[in-house]
Amino acid sequence: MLTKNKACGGILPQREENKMTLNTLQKRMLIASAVAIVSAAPAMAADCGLNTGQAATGAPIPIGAITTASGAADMANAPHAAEAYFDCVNANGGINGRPIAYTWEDDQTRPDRAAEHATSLVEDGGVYALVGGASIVDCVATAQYYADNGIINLMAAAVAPQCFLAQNVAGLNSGPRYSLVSAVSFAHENLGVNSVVCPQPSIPGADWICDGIETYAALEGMEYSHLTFDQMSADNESLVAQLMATGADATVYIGSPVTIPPFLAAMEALGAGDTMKVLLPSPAYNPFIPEAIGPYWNDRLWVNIEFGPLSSSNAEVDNFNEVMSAADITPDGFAQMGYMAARVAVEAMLTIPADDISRETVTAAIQGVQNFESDMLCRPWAFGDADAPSRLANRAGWMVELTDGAWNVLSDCVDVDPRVIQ
Amino acid sequence: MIFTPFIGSGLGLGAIYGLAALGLVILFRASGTVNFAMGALGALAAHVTWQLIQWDVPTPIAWAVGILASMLVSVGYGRLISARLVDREQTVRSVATLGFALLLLGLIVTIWGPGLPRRLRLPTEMMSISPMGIRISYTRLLAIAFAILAAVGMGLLLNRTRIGLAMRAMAASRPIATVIGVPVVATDTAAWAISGFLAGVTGLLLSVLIVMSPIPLTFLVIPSLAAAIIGRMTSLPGALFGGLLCGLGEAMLTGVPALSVYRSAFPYVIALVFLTLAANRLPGDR
Repeated sequence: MLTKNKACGGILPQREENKMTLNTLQKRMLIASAVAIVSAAPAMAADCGLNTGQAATGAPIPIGAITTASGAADMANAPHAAEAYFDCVNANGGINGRPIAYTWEDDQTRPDRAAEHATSLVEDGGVYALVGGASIVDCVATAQYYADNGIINLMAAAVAPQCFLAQNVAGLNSGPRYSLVSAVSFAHENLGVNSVVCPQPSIPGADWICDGIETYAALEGMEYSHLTFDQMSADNESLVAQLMATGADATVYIGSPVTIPPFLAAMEALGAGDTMKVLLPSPAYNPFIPEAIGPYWNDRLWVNIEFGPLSSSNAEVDNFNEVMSAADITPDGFAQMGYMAARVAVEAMLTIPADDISRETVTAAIQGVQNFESDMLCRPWAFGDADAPSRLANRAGWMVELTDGAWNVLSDCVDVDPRVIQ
Repeated sequence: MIFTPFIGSGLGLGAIYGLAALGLVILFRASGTVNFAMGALGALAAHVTWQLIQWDVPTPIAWAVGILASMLVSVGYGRLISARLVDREQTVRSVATLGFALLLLGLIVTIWGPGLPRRLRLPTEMMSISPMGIRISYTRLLAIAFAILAAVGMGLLLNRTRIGLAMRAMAASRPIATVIGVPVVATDTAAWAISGFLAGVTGLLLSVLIVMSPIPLTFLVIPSLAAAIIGRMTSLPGALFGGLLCGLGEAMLTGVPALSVYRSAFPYVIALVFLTLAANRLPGDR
């Protein structure tokens, strides 16, 4: 089995090797592709589940997922990665001899489609659990439905507030609210930030994200301000002018890898980065961002990341790269999340005897995961109290800073302040 | 609320809306086609340019080739597809460009991916003037100057040259223009080339000033359409005025808290107002 745990303090000495640049990613992807293509090469075998080397032949275990793969975003790499890991498990003894039959559906960023797929998967497909989905709208439409049906949705990437305020939903990520709260707490404690502004896009759930920062700021005596903005407008400079008018030491920004560069370009154009620090959630930790935003942002940009750097070398990252390479999947952040969700689910299901695997036992097994350790996680992942009406299963991440055009891991684990967890 | 901080960004945005609107108007006047593919052509120019810069091609050459690519693809569509639709009604010809836009978008997404963070850069972005405390970057000044130059240039082209005369003749009646010997194919080609040129320049400027991503670039043609409507789809000064109005209005609404979250709708609202209430009093040249 993998050597799972590693003290988070071990990250700091790896500062140099943790630099994540476009070149290193490209090299890694080329190497991974070469491994996949040249089968004659003695590649390291992936470590999956029972790792028997024998294909599972028993009755399939139905597992489903709902993902936003079209519409506002494409997060399909999460279920693709989960499926790749499940395939590897199936080729290595499955779940005590039974293979996983994995099905995932695209919700098209539409709550009604998510609800429709949930009904189909749960009632027609008879899935035992949902694992590895990454959706913007799934929880909005289905969180209560999963609780009513006694089924767990183990999400790769949970986004909507409803995901974190539900009994039967658990995310492998900590989500934008808690990721940004951690970024602000780091900036307050280490960068001298005493005032922060939260520009809130006019999308459902964004108020919940800013609310977390406001709560933290109030608890710490920081000055807090927020403003709402139209994320559909192409005019970022006017938003930045408003942010500058607040006089805050730092601003957060709720965005994607596509919307972050234009926002930072507007900040650069107005010189806002000279007086205001920028704190971003984990989607900004993208190998293409440094080149897209340019050298102005060196030493001016901090990001909270929820999973360990892919450029580091340890048993979990190596295994992840091996599984993704074998399945020809780009090893990005969403793939990390999907892989980890599948890993948690497999570890949980392996505790159940083959002839006793059912929706009820799978639900109980996932609920029983309280100390899942991995090199990719800063702290052990825990489902928490099964009866709790809300949950935050991943409560820690790392901080990275853009330096010399590369992401550098700055800190030991940054824990989400428990006072802001709802 | 003080609105002055938003004037600079509004003028820059408005100039780009205006440029795209000029491209829409010039083609509409010559061929009666509303070119919904303006944004996609701009996205193509931006991505070709970005790719060439990645391959260490000097920036001026990369920009020129990007614009040329937009012009060639535009002319290609005009000659190969649009030419076969000349006998169809205006709506069909215009909706066909929507299909062309989606085709181009699909091609760009297939080659360059849908959502990778990228940006084009110009050194002028870090240089600025600040009249009355309003910061305006040189790139925005460049966009404004180019928009004015384009409006004047296109006006001269239409009114002082033989090709402009031919375009006006075709706009009045294509069958009659054909009968009296207007070189229809050459005139059409010129109109598609000019439209592609303006689309390319607009796409490149948008990629420097706003965002470089295929989907937003493709659909940023929509507010430009509002600007062209303000110019009644015929007036070049009207289209430029409409673009500046849309850009300034969208930026200024940032300072009105109750409306700021709806400011992206401003171009459409103002276009509706112009269409319904002030059609006869719009700025125009005919």
